[in-house]
Amino acid sequence: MIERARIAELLSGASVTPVSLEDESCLGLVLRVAADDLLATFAALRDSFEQLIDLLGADLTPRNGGIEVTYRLRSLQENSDLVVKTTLEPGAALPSVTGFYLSALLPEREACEMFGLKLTGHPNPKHLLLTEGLPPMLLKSVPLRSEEDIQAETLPEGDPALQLLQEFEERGIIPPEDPDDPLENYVMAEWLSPEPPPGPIVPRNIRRQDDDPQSLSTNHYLLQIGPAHPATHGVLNIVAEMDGEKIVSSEAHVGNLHRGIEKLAESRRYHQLGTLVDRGDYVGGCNNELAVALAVEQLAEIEVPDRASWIRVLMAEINRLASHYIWFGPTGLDTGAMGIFLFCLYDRELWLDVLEEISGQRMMFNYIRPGGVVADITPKSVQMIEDILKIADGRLDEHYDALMASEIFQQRACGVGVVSKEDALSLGATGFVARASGIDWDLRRDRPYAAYDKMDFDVLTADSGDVWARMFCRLDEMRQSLRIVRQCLDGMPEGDFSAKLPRVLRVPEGECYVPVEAPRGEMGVHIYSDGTDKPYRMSYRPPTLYSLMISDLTLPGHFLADGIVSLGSFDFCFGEVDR
Amino acid sequence: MALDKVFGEQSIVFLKSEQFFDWARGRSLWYMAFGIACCSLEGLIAAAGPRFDFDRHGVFYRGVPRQSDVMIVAGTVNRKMAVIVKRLYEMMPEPRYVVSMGACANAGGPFREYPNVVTGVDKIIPVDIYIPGCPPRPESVQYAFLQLRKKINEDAKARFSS
Repeated sequence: MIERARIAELLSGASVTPVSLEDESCLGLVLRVAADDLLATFAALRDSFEQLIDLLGADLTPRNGGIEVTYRLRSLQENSDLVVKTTLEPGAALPSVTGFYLSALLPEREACEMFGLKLTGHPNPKHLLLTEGLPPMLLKSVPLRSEEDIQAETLPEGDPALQLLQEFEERGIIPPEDPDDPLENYVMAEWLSPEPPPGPIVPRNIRRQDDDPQSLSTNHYLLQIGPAHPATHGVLNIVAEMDGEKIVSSEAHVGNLHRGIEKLAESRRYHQLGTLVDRGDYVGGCNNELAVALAVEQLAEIEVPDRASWIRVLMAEINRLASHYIWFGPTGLDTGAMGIFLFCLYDRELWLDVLEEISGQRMMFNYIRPGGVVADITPKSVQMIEDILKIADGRLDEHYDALMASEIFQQRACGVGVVSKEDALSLGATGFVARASGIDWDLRRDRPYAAYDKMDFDVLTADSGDVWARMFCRLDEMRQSLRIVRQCLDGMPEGDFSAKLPRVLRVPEGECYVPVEAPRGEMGVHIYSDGTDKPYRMSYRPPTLYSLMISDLTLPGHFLADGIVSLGSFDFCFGEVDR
Repeated sequence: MALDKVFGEQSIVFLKSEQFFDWARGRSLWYMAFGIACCSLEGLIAAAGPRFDFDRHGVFYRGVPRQSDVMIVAGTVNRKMAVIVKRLYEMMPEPRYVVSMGACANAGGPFREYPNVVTGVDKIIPVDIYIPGCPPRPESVQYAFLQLRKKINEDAKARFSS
């Protein structure tokens, strides 16, 4: 643990006077600094904390608090977190911390557009999620639509095709007039150095190699990949600058599925939050529900029965298996292997049958709720799981033989999409992306929640950080999940499946952050509660938003076909990237 | 050959080319592999998978709008995406059909209060079949395609009887 005294010492070394440095019960150690001291604070803390895990804003103006921006720093070696908070006036400028932690790149843009802040010192301070013309949506003064507004909705006029062409033009086909202007386009290829640059990153415009005598004098061209492309696994839009078959630079554009989960959560009761986060990471919904349920329980101090915790672990692991299958198969498809896709879907259907038997749904379970789970597991579902467990390990070996043992696949996967450990740390990698790059970290083991402290499982890490390592780590995760499912069946305690709760749950005032190890990495829920039956603000930490930045960094230098394999291996889920 | 079973062996059939195309069209509806959100897992991936096996209905996915007959709008359409959905629809060759899948594409679903979300894809493109559910099961997508085939047949009949 990093103690309070050590942080105070670090800050006084940098001559920063904190507004307060206190241990708050649900959040842990909280450091509040003035906005002017933010950069000096991060400079002092950068060496002690490797990762910036989460960044979120909250509009506290109705409570006379201004706009509060929260940073969560993590030291993996000491397994401790520090929350840094700063308060800004509405419309004020937020200094960018991308010079210290690259993982702030996209979350900062999101926080600023959602709360109407200005962003200074950021290499690319464009809008991230919202369509142009919408107000900062997460401000409390911006309302949701009423039923009359919805009925009267009309869409902007104009020829969509022309609009689209104009949009492409705005995205940087034309080289910027002033290359030093930080508002202009930039390339991420400059950041491949192991050391993040000391100050803010100097942006570059898209490079042209016409004057290079050694090149084949092909003009570079821009290639739009997505958003309607089968290989982007969702509605990702990548604008890549191509030199023949090679990607020279690329930038990912997101926001094609932005549907306001965080804003809508403010008008839902605590019981109903699961419905929304299910549709965030729609492939691994149970883990998201679990995070929300744990956060509400922590705030309201609800005791969960043992059996409920065990059922939660069981469901989370089955869901993880189902989610990994839908990734393993299509990754094969990206390299041209059709068969493995069908094998994996066959196995996934087996697990979906179990999920359907227990929760009643194939997706969007809404099964784990504050206090416990909705219904007990049935004897039939136990029998179904046991039947699958008899063959599942062998099936995984078959999948390995069918895809990963093939030399063709190995040549496509080894050495492609390499993420170094330094990049993974600086860009906030969690979950399997971090483990494949040699970071030994698993929330289930290091900060056990639900009943994971009673489970026996291993965490596999790899050093190479390429597509092969990510596939290998995740295949092993599936084996460990099978082990955990087996232990859940063997050791399931008797008792209630849910605590007794009032119909309308009121949660005392407070603030908490609960992370869980979702299939794609650390999924966290940060809830501000104001004592009513609805959350004041709910923030969702999407693991794949951070892997998106990592993939953006790894694409340049690859052939297009390899880039697609690399993209697929990060397993994006755009429901949660855009929320 | 399948035609033999319909018309008898060694038979000679005289028909207008439009009639022949209408007959064929309902039996090979190729949809565009274009998933937006959650519904794509059920309607495009699971339905094409080994258990539900959409292929036996002559329904298969194509990666390109130029080669597809049907567009399954599987997920929430927001304002940014509306432009692209419209453009993809215009790239498809006629006759083209649209299946609106799930609560979000039908009417905005649980997100309809959010101003960035388009409340129903029928605000931007014409829709032939709506599938309710959040998300609908793969079977209901198959049922929708059977209904679409019926609709195509009826359209063809109406064209030739008039």
